[in-house]
Amino acid sequence: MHTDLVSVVRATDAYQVRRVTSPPERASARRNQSESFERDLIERIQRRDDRAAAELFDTYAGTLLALARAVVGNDEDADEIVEDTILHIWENPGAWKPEKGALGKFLSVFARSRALDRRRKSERRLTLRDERAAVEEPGTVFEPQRILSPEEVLTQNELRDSAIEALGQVSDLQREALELAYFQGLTQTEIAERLGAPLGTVKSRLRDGLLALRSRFGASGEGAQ
Amino acid sequence: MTNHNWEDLAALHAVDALDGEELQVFEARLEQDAALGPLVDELRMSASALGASLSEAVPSAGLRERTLARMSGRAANPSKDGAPSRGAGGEAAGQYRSGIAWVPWALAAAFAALSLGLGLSRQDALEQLAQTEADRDTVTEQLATAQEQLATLDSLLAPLHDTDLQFASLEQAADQPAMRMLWSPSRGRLVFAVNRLPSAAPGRTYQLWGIPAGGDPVSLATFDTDEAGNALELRSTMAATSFAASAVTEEPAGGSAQPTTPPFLVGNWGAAGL
Repeated sequence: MHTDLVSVVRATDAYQVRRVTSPPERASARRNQSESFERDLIERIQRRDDRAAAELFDTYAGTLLALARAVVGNDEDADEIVEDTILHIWENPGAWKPEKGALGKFLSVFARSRALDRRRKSERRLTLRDERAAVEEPGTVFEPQRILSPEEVLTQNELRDSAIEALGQVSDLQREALELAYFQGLTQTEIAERLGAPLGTVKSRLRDGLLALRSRFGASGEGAQ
Repeated sequence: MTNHNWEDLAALHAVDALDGEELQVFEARLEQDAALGPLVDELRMSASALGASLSEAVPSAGLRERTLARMSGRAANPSKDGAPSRGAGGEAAGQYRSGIAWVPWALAAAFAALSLGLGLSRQDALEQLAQTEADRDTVTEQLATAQEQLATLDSLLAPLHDTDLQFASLEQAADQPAMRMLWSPSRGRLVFAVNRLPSAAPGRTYQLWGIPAGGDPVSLATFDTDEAGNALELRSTMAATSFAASAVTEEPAGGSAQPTTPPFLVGNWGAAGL
Protein backbone atom coordinates (compact mmCIF):
# COMPACT_ATOMS: atom_id res chain seq x y z
CA MET A 1 0.00 0.00 0.00
CA HIS A 2 1.28 3.42 -1.00
CA THR A 3 4.87 2.36 -0.44
CA ASP A 4 5.67 4.24 -3.61
CA LEU A 5 4.88 7.38 -1.72
CA VAL A 6 6.85 6.19 1.26
CA SER A 7 9.76 5.70 -1.10
CA VAL A 8 9.41 9.22 -2.36
CA VAL A 9 9.44 10.58 1.15
CA ARG A 10 12.44 8.47 2.05
CA ALA A 11 14.26 9.87 -0.93
CA THR A 12 13.98 13.39 0.35
CA ASP A 13 16.92 15.11 1.96
CA ALA A 14 14.99 15.62 5.17
CA TYR A 15 14.43 11.90 5.55
CA GLN A 16 18.04 11.05 4.82
CA VAL A 17 19.26 13.52 7.41
CA ARG A 18 16.84 12.15 9.94
CA ARG A 19 17.97 8.60 9.32
CA VAL A 20 21.61 9.44 9.62
CA THR A 21 21.63 11.82 12.53
CA SER A 22 18.32 11.31 14.34
CA PRO A 23 18.93 14.05 16.91
CA PRO A 24 16.59 13.96 19.88
CA GLU A 25 14.93 17.23 19.01
CA ARG A 26 14.17 16.01 15.52
CA ALA A 27 12.71 12.76 16.84
CA SER A 28 10.69 14.70 19.36
CA ALA A 29 9.33 17.00 16.68
CA ARG A 30 8.44 13.99 14.56
CA ARG A 31 6.62 12.40 17.47
CA ASN A 32 4.73 15.59 18.18
CA GLN A 33 3.62 15.81 14.57
CA SER A 34 2.46 12.22 14.68
CA GLU A 35 0.52 12.77 17.91
CA SER A 36 -1.04 15.90 16.49
CA PHE A 37 -2.16 13.99 13.41
CA GLU A 38 -3.67 11.22 15.52
CA ARG A 39 -5.60 13.62 17.75
CA ASP A 40 -6.91 15.49 14.74
CA LEU A 41 -7.86 12.23 13.04
CA ILE A 42 -9.84 11.04 16.05
CA GLU A 43 -11.62 14.38 16.31
CA ARG A 44 -12.66 14.12 12.69
CA ILE A 45 -13.79 10.53 13.21
CA GLN A 46 -15.99 11.77 16.05
CA ARG A 47 -17.46 14.29 13.62
CA ARG A 48 -18.04 11.41 11.16
CA ASP A 49 -15.83 13.01 8.52
CA ASP A 50 -15.79 10.60 5.56
CA ARG A 51 -12.25 11.63 4.59
CA ALA A 52 -11.09 10.56 8.02
CA ALA A 53 -12.27 7.03 7.22
CA ALA A 54 -9.88 6.72 4.27
CA GLU A 55 -7.04 8.30 6.23
CA LEU A 56 -7.62 5.91 9.13
CA PHE A 57 -7.53 2.89 6.85
CA ASP A 58 -4.59 4.01 4.71
CA THR A 59 -2.45 4.97 7.68
CA TYR A 60 -2.87 1.87 9.82
CA ALA A 61 -4.26 -1.03 7.76
CA GLY A 62 -0.89 -2.10 6.38
CA THR A 63 0.71 -2.39 9.80
CA LEU A 64 -2.32 -4.14 11.26
CA LEU A 65 -2.48 -6.57 8.34
CA ALA A 66 1.16 -7.57 8.78
CA LEU A 67 0.52 -8.18 12.47
CA ALA A 68 -2.68 -10.14 11.89
CA ARG A 69 -1.06 -12.33 9.23
CA ALA A 70 1.85 -13.07 11.52
CA VAL A 71 -0.53 -14.26 14.23
CA VAL A 72 -3.26 -16.13 12.32
CA GLY A 73 -1.16 -17.22 9.34
CA ASN A 74 -3.77 -16.74 6.63
CA ASP A 75 -5.04 -13.82 4.59
CA GLU A 76 -8.76 -14.42 5.04
CA ASP A 77 -8.75 -14.25 8.82
CA ALA A 78 -6.19 -11.44 8.78
CA ASP A 79 -8.41 -9.33 6.53
CA GLU A 80 -11.36 -9.78 8.89
CA ILE A 81 -9.24 -8.75 11.86
CA VAL A 82 -8.10 -5.58 10.13
CA GLU A 83 -11.65 -4.74 9.14
CA ASP A 84 -12.92 -5.33 12.69
CA THR A 85 -10.11 -3.26 14.19
CA ILE A 86 -10.62 -0.27 11.90
CA LEU A 87 -14.38 -0.41 12.43
CA HIS A 88 -13.91 -0.67 16.19
CA ILE A 89 -12.12 2.66 16.43
CA TRP A 90 -14.46 4.18 13.85
CA GLU A 91 -17.42 3.27 16.04
CA ASN A 92 -15.68 3.94 19.36
CA PRO A 93 -13.21 6.79 18.84
CA GLY A 94 -13.40 7.60 22.54
CA ALA A 95 -11.88 4.23 23.39
CA TRP A 96 -8.43 5.61 22.55
CA LYS A 97 -6.84 7.64 25.34
CA PRO A 98 -3.95 9.67 23.90
CA GLU A 99 -2.17 9.84 27.25
CA LYS A 100 -1.83 6.04 27.26
CA GLY A 101 0.09 5.84 24.00
CA ALA A 102 -0.07 6.30 20.27
CA LEU A 103 -3.18 5.35 18.32
CA GLY A 104 -1.17 2.86 16.27
CA LYS A 105 -0.20 1.00 19.44
CA PHE A 106 -3.79 0.98 20.67
CA LEU A 107 -4.97 -0.49 17.38
CA SER A 108 -2.18 -3.08 17.45
CA VAL A 109 -3.19 -4.25 20.93
CA PHE A 110 -6.79 -4.63 19.78
CA ALA A 111 -5.86 -6.42 16.55
CA ARG A 112 -3.47 -8.82 18.28
CA SER A 113 -6.11 -9.74 20.84
CA ARG A 114 -8.61 -10.51 18.08
CA ALA A 115 -6.00 -12.40 16.11
CA LEU A 116 -4.99 -14.56 19.06
CA ASP A 117 -8.64 -15.42 19.73
CA ARG A 118 -9.00 -16.43 16.10
CA ARG A 119 -5.81 -18.44 16.19
CA ARG A 120 -6.79 -20.30 19.34
CA LYS A 121 -10.19 -21.12 17.95
CA SER A 122 -8.69 -22.62 14.85
CA GLU A 123 -6.02 -24.30 17.00
CA ARG A 124 -3.37 -23.58 14.46
CA ARG A 125 0.14 -24.00 15.62
CA LEU A 126 2.33 -22.92 12.74
CA THR A 127 6.01 -22.51 13.30
CA LEU A 128 7.31 -18.99 13.48
CA ARG A 129 9.18 -19.65 10.29
CA ASP A 130 6.01 -20.59 8.47
CA GLU A 131 4.26 -17.51 9.75
CA ARG A 132 7.09 -15.26 8.79
CA ALA A 133 6.97 -16.78 5.34
CA ALA A 134 3.25 -16.08 5.23
CA VAL A 135 3.98 -12.44 5.90
CA GLU A 136 6.11 -12.48 2.80
CA GLU A 137 3.34 -13.75 0.55
CA PRO A 138 2.80 -11.09 -2.07
CA GLY A 139 -0.27 -8.93 -1.59
CA THR A 140 -3.32 -9.68 -3.66
CA VAL A 141 -4.68 -6.95 -5.86
CA PHE A 142 -3.76 -3.37 -5.25
CA GLU A 143 -6.21 -0.58 -5.60
CA PRO A 144 -4.97 2.73 -6.82
CA GLN A 145 -4.51 4.69 -3.64
CA ARG A 146 -5.13 8.32 -3.07
CA ILE A 147 -2.01 10.34 -2.36
CA LEU A 148 -1.16 10.20 1.32
CA SER A 149 -0.54 13.40 3.17
CA PRO A 150 2.93 13.95 4.65
CA GLU A 151 1.38 13.61 8.12
CA GLU A 152 0.01 10.14 7.31
CA VAL A 153 3.36 8.97 5.93
CA LEU A 154 5.17 10.46 8.91
CA THR A 155 2.81 8.73 11.34
CA GLN A 156 3.40 5.38 9.64
CA ASN A 157 7.16 5.84 9.72
CA GLU A 158 7.18 7.10 13.29
CA LEU A 159 5.45 3.99 14.64
CA ARG A 160 7.72 1.55 12.81
CA ASP A 161 10.93 3.47 13.38
CA SER A 162 10.30 3.83 17.11
CA ALA A 163 9.38 0.14 17.32
CA ILE A 164 12.61 -0.90 15.60
CA GLU A 165 14.58 1.45 17.82
CA ALA A 166 12.93 0.03 20.95
CA LEU A 167 13.63 -3.54 19.84
CA GLY A 168 17.28 -2.56 19.60
CA GLN A 169 17.23 -2.51 23.42
CA VAL A 170 16.11 -6.15 23.56
CA SER A 171 18.56 -9.05 23.38
CA ASP A 172 18.19 -11.76 20.76
CA LEU A 173 17.12 -14.33 23.33
CA GLN A 174 14.60 -11.99 24.91
CA ARG A 175 13.16 -11.14 21.53
CA GLU A 176 12.91 -14.80 20.56
CA ALA A 177 10.85 -15.54 23.67
CA LEU A 178 8.71 -12.44 23.22
CA GLU A 179 7.97 -13.29 19.59
CA LEU A 180 6.83 -16.78 20.50
CA ALA A 181 4.43 -15.31 23.06
CA TYR A 182 3.31 -12.34 20.99
CA PHE A 183 2.82 -13.92 17.57
CA GLN A 184 2.11 -17.54 18.44
CA GLY A 185 0.32 -17.02 21.73
CA LEU A 186 2.51 -19.54 23.52
CA THR A 187 2.53 -19.53 27.31
CA GLN A 188 5.72 -19.41 29.33
CA THR A 189 5.59 -23.19 29.82
CA GLU A 190 5.10 -23.81 26.11
CA ILE A 191 7.95 -21.45 25.27
CA ALA A 192 10.24 -23.24 27.70
CA GLU A 193 9.37 -26.54 26.03
CA ARG A 194 9.83 -25.11 22.57
CA LEU A 195 13.23 -23.62 23.37
CA GLY A 196 14.39 -26.37 25.69
CA ALA A 197 15.15 -23.71 28.30
CA PRO A 198 14.35 -23.67 32.03
CA LEU A 199 11.03 -22.04 32.89
CA GLY A 200 12.70 -19.48 35.12
CA THR A 201 15.00 -18.45 32.31
CA VAL A 202 12.07 -17.96 29.95
CA LYS A 203 10.25 -15.85 32.54
CA SER A 204 13.30 -13.65 32.95
CA ARG A 205 13.72 -13.21 29.21
CA LEU A 206 10.06 -12.26 28.75
CA ARG A 207 10.04 -9.89 31.72
CA ASP A 208 13.34 -8.19 31.00
CA GLY A 209 12.61 -7.93 27.29
CA LEU A 210 9.21 -6.37 27.82
CA LEU A 211 10.45 -3.96 30.45
CA ALA A 212 13.17 -2.89 28.02
CA LEU A 213 10.50 -2.27 25.39
CA ARG A 214 8.45 -0.33 27.92
CA SER A 215 11.33 2.05 28.57
CA ARG A 216 11.32 3.07 24.92
CA PHE A 217 7.93 2.17 23.47
CA GLY A 218 5.57 2.41 26.45
CA ALA A 219 3.61 5.54 27.22
CA SER A 220 6.13 6.50 29.90
CA GLY A 221 8.99 5.75 27.54
CA GLU A 222 7.71 7.92 24.70
CA GLY A 223 10.14 10.67 24.27
CA ALA A 224 12.97 8.69 25.81
CA GLN A 225 16.18 8.94 23.85
CA MET B 1 4.23 -11.64 47.21
CA THR B 2 6.09 -8.36 46.80
CA ASN B 3 5.18 -5.53 44.47
CA HIS B 4 8.19 -6.42 42.41
CA ASN B 5 6.74 -9.87 41.82
CA TRP B 6 3.44 -8.39 40.74
CA GLU B 7 5.22 -6.25 38.18
CA ASP B 8 6.99 -9.32 36.86
CA LEU B 9 3.73 -11.19 36.55
CA ALA B 10 2.13 -8.16 34.90
CA ALA B 11 4.81 -8.28 32.21
CA LEU B 12 4.16 -11.97 31.56
CA HIS B 13 0.40 -11.40 31.58
CA ALA B 14 0.71 -8.55 29.09
CA VAL B 15 1.94 -11.00 26.44
CA ASP B 16 -0.50 -13.71 27.58
CA ALA B 17 2.36 -15.94 28.71
CA LEU B 18 1.10 -16.63 32.22
CA ASP B 19 -0.47 -20.01 32.77
CA GLY B 20 -1.49 -22.40 35.51
CA GLU B 21 -1.69 -21.25 39.09
CA GLU B 22 0.23 -18.04 38.44
CA LEU B 23 -2.43 -16.95 35.99
CA GLN B 24 -5.21 -17.58 38.48
CA VAL B 25 -3.38 -15.77 41.27
CA PHE B 26 -2.58 -12.80 39.08
CA GLU B 27 -6.11 -12.47 37.67
CA ALA B 28 -7.48 -12.49 41.20
CA ARG B 29 -5.00 -9.81 42.20
CA LEU B 30 -5.87 -7.80 39.10
CA GLU B 31 -9.43 -7.42 40.32
CA GLN B 32 -8.26 -6.06 43.67
CA ASP B 33 -5.28 -3.89 42.76
CA ALA B 34 -6.34 -0.80 40.80
CA ALA B 35 -2.74 -0.01 39.84
CA LEU B 36 -2.12 -3.30 38.08
CA GLY B 37 -4.64 -2.83 35.26
CA PRO B 38 -3.01 0.34 33.85
CA LEU B 39 0.40 -1.31 34.19
CA VAL B 40 -0.73 -4.33 32.15
CA ASP B 41 -2.27 -1.97 29.58
CA GLU B 42 0.98 -0.05 29.21
CA LEU B 43 3.00 -3.23 28.92
CA ARG B 44 0.61 -4.47 26.23
CA MET B 45 1.15 -1.23 24.35
CA SER B 46 4.90 -1.71 24.75
CA ALA B 47 4.72 -5.24 23.38
CA SER B 48 3.05 -3.89 20.26
CA ALA B 49 6.54 -2.85 19.12
CA LEU B 50 6.92 -6.46 17.99
CA GLY B 51 4.05 -6.13 15.54
CA ALA B 52 4.77 -2.56 14.56
CA SER B 53 8.30 -3.49 13.51
CA LEU B 54 7.05 -5.88 10.83
CA SER B 55 7.24 -4.72 7.27
CA GLU B 56 3.93 -3.21 6.30
CA ALA B 57 1.63 -5.60 4.41
CA VAL B 58 -0.48 -4.55 1.47
CA PRO B 59 -4.24 -4.62 2.03
CA SER B 60 -6.19 -5.89 -0.93
CA ALA B 61 -8.45 -3.60 -2.88
CA GLY B 62 -11.41 -5.63 -1.66
CA LEU B 63 -10.51 -5.18 1.99
CA ARG B 64 -10.18 -1.42 1.60
CA GLU B 65 -13.39 -1.12 -0.36
CA ARG B 66 -15.31 -3.34 2.06
CA THR B 67 -14.05 -1.56 5.14
CA LEU B 68 -14.66 1.93 3.80
CA ALA B 69 -18.13 0.94 2.60
CA ARG B 70 -19.07 -0.26 6.08
CA MET B 71 -17.62 2.88 7.62
CA SER B 72 -19.45 5.06 5.15
CA GLY B 73 -22.72 3.30 5.83
CA ARG B 74 -22.37 3.88 9.52
CA ALA B 75 -21.30 7.45 9.05
CA ALA B 76 -24.76 8.19 7.70
CA ASN B 77 -26.38 6.79 10.83
CA PRO B 78 -25.15 8.84 13.75
CA SER B 79 -26.86 8.35 17.08
CA LYS B 80 -28.29 11.20 19.10
CA ASP B 81 -25.11 11.83 21.04
CA GLY B 82 -23.07 11.94 17.91
CA ALA B 83 -21.45 8.61 18.61
CA PRO B 84 -21.99 5.91 16.01
CA SER B 85 -23.98 2.81 16.78
CA ARG B 86 -25.41 -0.07 14.86
CA GLY B 87 -28.95 0.35 16.13
CA ALA B 88 -29.45 3.92 17.19
CA GLY B 89 -30.25 6.20 14.31
CA GLY B 90 -31.32 3.40 12.05
CA GLU B 91 -34.96 4.39 12.15
CA ALA B 92 -34.15 8.00 11.50
CA ALA B 93 -31.97 6.99 8.63
CA GLY B 94 -34.80 4.91 7.21
CA GLN B 95 -37.09 7.90 7.32
CA TYR B 96 -34.42 9.97 5.69
CA ARG B 97 -34.03 7.42 2.95
CA SER B 98 -37.78 7.17 2.30
CA GLY B 99 -38.04 10.93 2.22
CA ILE B 100 -35.64 11.16 -0.65
CA ALA B 101 -36.64 7.96 -2.42
CA TRP B 102 -37.73 9.93 -5.47
CA VAL B 103 -34.20 11.23 -6.10
CA PRO B 104 -32.73 8.17 -7.90
CA TRP B 105 -35.84 7.88 -10.03
CA ALA B 106 -35.63 11.52 -10.98
CA LEU B 107 -31.99 11.11 -11.87
CA ALA B 108 -32.75 8.04 -13.98
CA ALA B 109 -35.51 9.88 -15.81
CA ALA B 110 -33.23 12.80 -16.42
CA PHE B 111 -30.52 10.50 -17.77
CA ALA B 112 -32.98 8.75 -20.08
CA ALA B 113 -34.23 12.06 -21.40
CA LEU B 114 -30.69 13.23 -21.91
CA SER B 115 -29.78 10.05 -23.75
CA LEU B 116 -32.73 10.42 -26.08
CA GLY B 117 -31.87 14.03 -26.61
CA LEU B 118 -28.38 13.09 -27.65
CA GLY B 119 -29.63 10.40 -29.98
CA LEU B 120 -28.06 7.60 -27.99
CA SER B 121 -29.83 4.32 -27.67
CA ARG B 122 -29.80 2.50 -24.38
CA GLN B 123 -27.65 -0.19 -25.98
CA ASP B 124 -25.08 2.39 -27.09
CA ALA B 125 -24.91 3.83 -23.62
CA LEU B 126 -24.45 0.40 -22.06
CA GLU B 127 -21.69 -0.49 -24.51
CA GLN B 128 -19.88 2.75 -23.79
CA LEU B 129 -20.26 2.15 -20.10
CA ALA B 130 -18.89 -1.39 -20.45
CA GLN B 131 -15.93 -0.12 -22.45
CA THR B 132 -15.23 2.58 -19.89
CA GLU B 133 -15.33 0.02 -17.11
CA ALA B 134 -13.01 -2.28 -19.05
CA ASP B 135 -10.57 0.60 -19.58
CA ARG B 136 -10.73 1.43 -15.92
CA ASP B 137 -10.02 -2.19 -14.97
CA THR B 138 -7.02 -2.25 -17.30
CA VAL B 139 -5.59 0.91 -15.77
CA THR B 140 -6.30 -0.45 -12.30
CA GLU B 141 -4.38 -3.63 -13.08
CA GLN B 142 -1.46 -1.66 -14.50
CA LEU B 143 -1.34 0.53 -11.44
CA ALA B 144 -1.58 -2.52 -9.21
CA THR B 145 1.39 -4.11 -10.92
CA ALA B 146 3.42 -0.92 -10.67
CA GLN B 147 2.60 -0.47 -7.01
CA GLU B 148 3.46 -4.08 -6.26
CA GLN B 149 6.84 -3.59 -7.92
CA LEU B 150 7.43 -0.40 -5.95
CA ALA B 151 6.43 -2.09 -2.70
CA THR B 152 8.91 -4.90 -3.35
CA LEU B 153 11.61 -2.40 -4.22
CA ASP B 154 10.95 -0.47 -1.04
CA SER B 155 11.25 -3.63 1.04
CA LEU B 156 14.48 -4.50 -0.69
CA LEU B 157 16.00 -1.10 -0.06
CA ALA B 158 14.80 -0.46 3.48
CA PRO B 159 17.51 -2.58 5.23
CA LEU B 160 20.20 -0.43 3.62
CA HIS B 161 19.44 2.18 6.27
CA ASP B 162 20.38 -0.19 9.10
CA THR B 163 23.69 0.30 10.85
CA ASP B 164 24.00 -3.38 11.77
CA LEU B 165 23.78 -4.52 8.16
CA GLN B 166 25.72 -7.74 7.43
CA PHE B 167 27.03 -8.97 4.10
CA ALA B 168 28.05 -12.39 2.84
CA SER B 169 29.28 -13.61 -0.51
CA LEU B 170 28.97 -17.31 -1.30
CA GLU B 171 31.01 -18.28 -4.32
CA GLN B 172 32.85 -21.23 -5.82
CA ALA B 173 34.89 -19.84 -8.66
CA ALA B 174 34.50 -17.53 -11.62
CA ASP B 175 31.60 -18.49 -13.86
CA GLN B 176 30.28 -20.83 -11.17
CA PRO B 177 27.11 -20.36 -9.07
CA ALA B 178 27.35 -17.38 -6.74
CA MET B 179 25.19 -15.80 -4.08
CA ARG B 180 25.35 -12.41 -2.38
CA MET B 181 23.35 -11.58 0.73
CA LEU B 182 22.49 -8.57 2.87
CA TRP B 183 20.98 -9.19 6.29
CA SER B 184 19.56 -6.69 8.78
CA PRO B 185 19.47 -8.47 12.18
CA SER B 186 17.55 -5.63 13.84
CA ARG B 187 14.91 -5.61 11.13
CA GLY B 188 14.91 -9.38 10.65
CA ARG B 189 15.23 -8.92 6.88
CA LEU B 190 17.34 -10.95 4.51
CA VAL B 191 17.91 -10.06 0.86
CA PHE B 192 19.85 -12.36 -1.42
CA ALA B 193 20.69 -12.59 -5.10
CA VAL B 194 21.72 -15.80 -6.83
CA ASN B 195 23.42 -16.09 -10.22
CA ARG B 196 24.40 -18.92 -12.53
CA LEU B 197 22.60 -21.60 -10.50
CA PRO B 198 20.47 -24.00 -12.58
CA SER B 199 16.94 -24.65 -11.32
CA ALA B 200 16.68 -27.41 -8.75
CA ALA B 201 15.72 -30.86 -10.04
CA PRO B 202 12.03 -31.86 -9.83
CA GLY B 203 11.10 -32.66 -6.26
CA ARG B 204 14.15 -30.83 -4.96
CA THR B 205 14.81 -27.30 -3.71
CA TYR B 206 17.73 -25.18 -2.63
CA GLN B 207 18.00 -24.36 1.06
CA LEU B 208 19.95 -21.50 2.63
CA TRP B 209 21.38 -22.02 6.10
CA GLY B 210 22.72 -19.67 8.76
CA ILE B 211 25.50 -21.25 10.81
CA PRO B 212 26.13 -19.85 14.32
CA ALA B 213 29.64 -20.16 15.67
CA GLY B 214 29.78 -23.64 17.21
CA GLY B 215 26.09 -24.26 16.58
CA ASP B 216 23.84 -26.25 14.28
CA PRO B 217 22.72 -24.75 10.97
CA VAL B 218 19.48 -22.78 11.07
CA SER B 219 17.25 -22.77 8.01
CA LEU B 220 16.87 -19.27 6.59
CA ALA B 221 15.02 -19.93 3.35
CA THR B 222 14.24 -22.35 0.57
CA PHE B 223 14.39 -21.03 -2.96
CA ASP B 224 14.73 -21.90 -6.61
CA THR B 225 16.11 -20.04 -9.59
CA ASP B 226 14.53 -18.99 -12.88
CA GLU B 227 15.38 -20.31 -16.33
CA ALA B 228 18.39 -18.02 -16.51
CA GLY B 229 19.71 -19.38 -13.21
CA ASN B 230 18.94 -16.21 -11.26
CA ALA B 231 16.94 -15.45 -8.13
CA LEU B 232 16.34 -12.31 -6.08
CA GLU B 233 14.60 -12.96 -2.78
CA LEU B 234 13.51 -10.95 0.23
CA ARG B 235 12.79 -12.94 3.40
CA SER B 236 12.00 -12.28 7.02
CA THR B 237 14.08 -14.15 9.55
CA MET B 238 13.83 -14.96 13.22
CA ALA B 239 14.93 -12.39 15.71
CA ALA B 240 18.55 -11.48 15.40
CA THR B 241 20.80 -14.45 15.86
CA SER B 242 24.49 -14.17 15.23
CA PHE B 243 25.63 -16.23 12.27
CA ALA B 244 29.27 -16.78 11.47
CA ALA B 245 28.67 -18.29 8.05
CA SER B 246 26.01 -19.37 5.60
CA ALA B 247 25.76 -22.27 3.20
CA VAL B 248 23.46 -23.59 0.50
CA THR B 249 22.48 -27.23 0.06
CA GLU B 250 20.10 -29.09 -2.21
CA GLU B 251 17.24 -30.65 -0.26
CA PRO B 252 13.93 -32.41 -0.88
CA ALA B 253 11.09 -30.06 -1.87
CA GLY B 254 9.84 -28.21 1.19
CA GLY B 255 13.27 -28.14 2.79
CA SER B 256 14.86 -30.12 5.60
CA ALA B 257 15.20 -29.53 9.33
CA GLN B 258 18.95 -29.98 9.00
CA PRO B 259 21.16 -30.29 5.89
CA THR B 260 21.04 -33.73 4.28
CA THR B 261 23.55 -33.03 1.50
CA PRO B 262 26.97 -31.37 1.46
CA PRO B 263 26.89 -27.60 0.91
CA PHE B 264 27.97 -26.42 -2.52
CA LEU B 265 28.09 -22.70 -1.62
CA VAL B 266 29.70 -21.45 1.58
CA GLY B 267 30.68 -18.00 2.81
CA ASN B 268 31.29 -15.96 5.95
CA TRP B 269 29.21 -13.09 7.28
CA GLY B 270 30.80 -9.73 7.98
CA ALA B 271 29.81 -6.11 8.47
CA ALA B 272 28.55 -4.63 5.22
CA GLY B 273 30.70 -1.56 5.79
CA LEU B 274 28.32 0.75 4.00
